[in-house]
Amino acid sequence: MNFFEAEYAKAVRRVKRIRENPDPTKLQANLLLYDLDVELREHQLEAIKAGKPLCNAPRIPALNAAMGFQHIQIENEADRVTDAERYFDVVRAHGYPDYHCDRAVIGIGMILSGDVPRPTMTISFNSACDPIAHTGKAIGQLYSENYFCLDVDSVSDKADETVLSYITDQLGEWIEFAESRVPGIKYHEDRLVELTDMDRQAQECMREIYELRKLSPCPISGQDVFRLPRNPSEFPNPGKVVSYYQALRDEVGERAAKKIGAAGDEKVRIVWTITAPFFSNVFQRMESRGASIVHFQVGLAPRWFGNRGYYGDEHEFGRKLKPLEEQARFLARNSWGGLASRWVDDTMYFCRELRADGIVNFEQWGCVAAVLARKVMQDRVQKELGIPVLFVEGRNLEKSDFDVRKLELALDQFVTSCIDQKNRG
Amino acid sequence: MNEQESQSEVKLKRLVESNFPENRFFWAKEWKRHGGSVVGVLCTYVPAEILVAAGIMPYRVSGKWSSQNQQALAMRSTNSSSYCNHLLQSLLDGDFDFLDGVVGTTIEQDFTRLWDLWVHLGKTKFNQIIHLPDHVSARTVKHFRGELSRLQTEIQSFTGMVISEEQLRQASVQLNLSRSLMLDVYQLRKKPSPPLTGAEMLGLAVASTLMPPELFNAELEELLPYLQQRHAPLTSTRPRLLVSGDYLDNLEQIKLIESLGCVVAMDDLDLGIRYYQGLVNLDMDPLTAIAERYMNRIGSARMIPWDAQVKQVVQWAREYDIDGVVDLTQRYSRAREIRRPFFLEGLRQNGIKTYGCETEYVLSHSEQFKTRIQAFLETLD
Repeated sequence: MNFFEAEYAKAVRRVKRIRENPDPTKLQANLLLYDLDVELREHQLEAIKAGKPLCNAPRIPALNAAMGFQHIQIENEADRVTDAERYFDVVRAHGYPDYHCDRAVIGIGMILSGDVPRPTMTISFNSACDPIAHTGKAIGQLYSENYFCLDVDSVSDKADETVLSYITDQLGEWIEFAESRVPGIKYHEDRLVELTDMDRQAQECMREIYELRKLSPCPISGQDVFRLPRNPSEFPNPGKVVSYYQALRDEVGERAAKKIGAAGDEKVRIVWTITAPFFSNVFQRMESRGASIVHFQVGLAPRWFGNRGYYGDEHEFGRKLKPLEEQARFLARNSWGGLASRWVDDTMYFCRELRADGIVNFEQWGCVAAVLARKVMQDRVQKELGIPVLFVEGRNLEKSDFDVRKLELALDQFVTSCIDQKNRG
Repeated sequence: MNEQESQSEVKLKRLVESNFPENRFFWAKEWKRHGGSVVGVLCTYVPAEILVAAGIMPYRVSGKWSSQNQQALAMRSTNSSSYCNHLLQSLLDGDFDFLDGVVGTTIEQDFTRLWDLWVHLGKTKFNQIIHLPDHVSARTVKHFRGELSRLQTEIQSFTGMVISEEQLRQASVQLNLSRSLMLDVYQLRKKPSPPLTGAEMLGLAVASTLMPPELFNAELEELLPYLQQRHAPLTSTRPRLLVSGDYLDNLEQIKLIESLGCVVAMDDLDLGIRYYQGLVNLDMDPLTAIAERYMNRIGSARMIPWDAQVKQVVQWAREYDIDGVVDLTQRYSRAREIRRPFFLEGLRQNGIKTYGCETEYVLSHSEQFKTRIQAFLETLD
């Protein structure tokens, strides 16, 4: 069974399990998402069977779809893997290092094992982090039929027209390249505009939910905060995805109005950064001790929820952006991709906005972008926020040499110390 | 050996040992003593021309050649670039307190984060980082030129002086001369009995990054006639190896390899041939010419395309009559690690015997290293 078949079967089982035995403490709207997952996986399987060109690309699914590609972003698919060990075995057997960021490197294993078909096209990009950039280059050059390298200048932290046009022009080059190399692929700008608008509508709902996260108690669980937003344009029925986000927003609104929080008696509010062990719900344990996980800080968080523009925003550049520029914008100013000051500024921004009492910096092995900013983070948070930070090493997919129990104990102690510090005022 | 040859040997030794801990700051501090500014350079893609044109001495920073870097590791991570960690330790120990500034590129995020920490620690007043595109096209070269222009502007603000096109051109002339002289030395390495050991060659190559270019050029121009007739003090001139690596400025590893009875006749090092390959075109806009020169060289593993990098090493292997290639990838050099399977297989498919050896900036298990290399050398007999 290949990866998509396994994911389809998993999605079907999950929906069945929830329908048969719904958990009233969990968000009911998420069942809509899981239904959409089933549709997506069905669609992907049909696309693969029909030989539809597959494009492994960064977070520009609307552009991919507007070109006629079936979009995947292999790192995001890797997040869903539950038996990562066999992909690590493949990675090691082929001489690749197994200690680069798990979610980046096992993408190579997923393709080499045949569980994910070789992409028709891969776009590698360096806007986020080196592990993703390097594995993208490996997949693109060695395991894809066609490859395009997208270079993003992440030094400047401002909304820079030069950088925007640099990326936009490269996307234009990519369009020409793809059209010339892949039969049947053609750029349809009207479709891009349509899909981008649906992505925008969905993200508006997520921003409304973000505003609700500012309330006490935080109305959604850490597990839901940890869930990365997914664009409607990734799905075969984007309109239904927009409806899901609207339902999600409404439900979270109701929970907020009734002061229902995942942590019950919320004592402290925690911002979690980088990643977390996907194979264990550490958030639930923290919530049982009175800690709400109010934010998951990752590369795109400032675009999704924060002080950077999303699709349709005219403030960032002081003007309306053209359709391709909207996609380019999304590749610029990733929180991970710039200097350490950007990562720390962004993390502290959310801490202030969400009134965080502590930060958990989950230091994924191989995460160069965030882990190596540790000292800067430590010093600046201490000086400017005065809240405790837990720096804890871990892995998000590789279970064999990672002791979850130790992590849980560390988190227990951390929550206790955050509560003590908060009570001391 | 006559007196002239003895003097030449002394000169050569001085250059070869220029990066030894007791020597490495000599020229930079001399430059400072005479009122000059010295700026640390973190990456071989920082165009030294712009600094030289501004009257600044570019100084390539090295890491501590000691295994004691605990303080640095506490600030970074054990699974991060060994070179960067040793460099940070040097910084924390105050070794670079004499520097007026630091310039880096985004060559690898590990290096960007080192630069970030350097700036955060407030060690230098002038701190710049430029974006380095990861592939070559008309668009990326143009963008890199824009970055160089930005760097030039910042340097002008720092120094209070305008850098003219003519000054850039003159700086390019100086550095082109360094490159041409070193490429002449590289040609001599093709001899069956080369004039320098691989370790000596590395020492010489690194020397130019620690001295004002004019001085280096004068020294090497004087030495070249001597090198043309010198025979390296080697126990054996066969097998002939090519060593591939990055951030290798400590001669120990190559010395160890050669002590086993071989010669490192050629390299694929960021501080070796790749540093000197390609001249700046003096007949065009200087900044554009500099951007093109730096971008169009055979790249490090972080650049693409990788097949061009393999082809270049294959070509060098043929030109230099190489019996085998040793790939010395420092652990946690992520770009090299991801490229490595392709790189080694590419060389093998071209009939080149290869050995991939994971190493560190400061070799901690030399016996193990020697055993592995010895085993590889035996396959070359």
